[in-house]
Amino acid sequence: MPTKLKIEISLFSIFMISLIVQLVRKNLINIKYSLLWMFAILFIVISAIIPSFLSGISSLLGFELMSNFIFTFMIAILIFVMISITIIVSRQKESIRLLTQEISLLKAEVKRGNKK
Amino acid sequence: MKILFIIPAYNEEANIIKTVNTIKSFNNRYDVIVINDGSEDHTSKLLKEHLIPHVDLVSNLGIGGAVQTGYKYAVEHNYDIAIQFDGDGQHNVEYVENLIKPIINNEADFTIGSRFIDGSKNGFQSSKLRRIGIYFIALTIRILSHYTINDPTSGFRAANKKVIHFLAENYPYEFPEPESIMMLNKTGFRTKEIPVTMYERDGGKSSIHTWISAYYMINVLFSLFIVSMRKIRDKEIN
Repeated sequence: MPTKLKIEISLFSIFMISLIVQLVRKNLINIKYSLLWMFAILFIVISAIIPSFLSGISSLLGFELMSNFIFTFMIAILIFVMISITIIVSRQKESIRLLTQEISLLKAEVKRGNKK
Repeated sequence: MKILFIIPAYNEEANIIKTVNTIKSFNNRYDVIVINDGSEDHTSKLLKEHLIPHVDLVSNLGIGGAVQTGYKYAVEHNYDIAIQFDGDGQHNVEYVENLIKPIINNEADFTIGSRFIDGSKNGFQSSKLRRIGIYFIALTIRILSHYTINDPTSGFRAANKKVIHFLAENYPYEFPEPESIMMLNKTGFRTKEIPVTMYERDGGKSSIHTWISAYYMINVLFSLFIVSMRKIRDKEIN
């Protein structure tokens, strides 16, 4: 891998890591969910430093071109991320429903109590 | 015996007061709770002015979430029977006694007012296209749970205390009418259909307004399939 490319990937990774750290610090993402992205970046860094790591897995799985392997792998990761986000959203919808019901019932009781 | 009418209402200012008054004048011992599902019209104001017991949901939850709130209310206030009753004037209160009779006699845990069984052929039965849709939902339920139900989308239902507790915890909210029947059967509750006639709705819109679209049908059938496989969380059964 050309040195130029390595530097580019390193810069990109540093940018991504600082972005994630900033988001966690500002409480915009939970630490729990940031770990997933940290691992993804770690993987990119490892691949940049040791290219044989990627090509090894690629030929092991039977891909003729390493780029095909990378694309397939990335799409698989994104699908996984999307599914976990769907799970999180569904769970949130459930708790919002519960909260809405409980707070509405409570409000109705309080209003009734005030009238008496 | 404490009996509660759960009336979900979404933008029902045209009918809601009339509906409640009809119930109250039919039998004064029936209690009502109107669940106002975040209406944008004057439903909430009207309920307040007429001193009708109601719960204003702080945001719109859809029919399932609204009805479940009613069941939670029924649990909190220790009701023996809860009746689901539409706020749009579609349901006829005269059939309520027939509907709750099997529950009082302990022959059923949950009854469904049905438009399509003997003794109910005269009233409004929905458009032809909807009836085809309803038929397919019924067929799916029969295949998946071996239980025959003729009117799985009817929102005119009654529940005993055990079912009130169960539904307060486990009400389905995507396609609540057919899903709840499957869930209750799966859990081992005794359900029964009672012939009723219904009116054509006076105003307002059906909660199932996308009936004709194939997309809706696929969704219902798929969710029934999922419910038939799902594990029921039965915290409250015993």
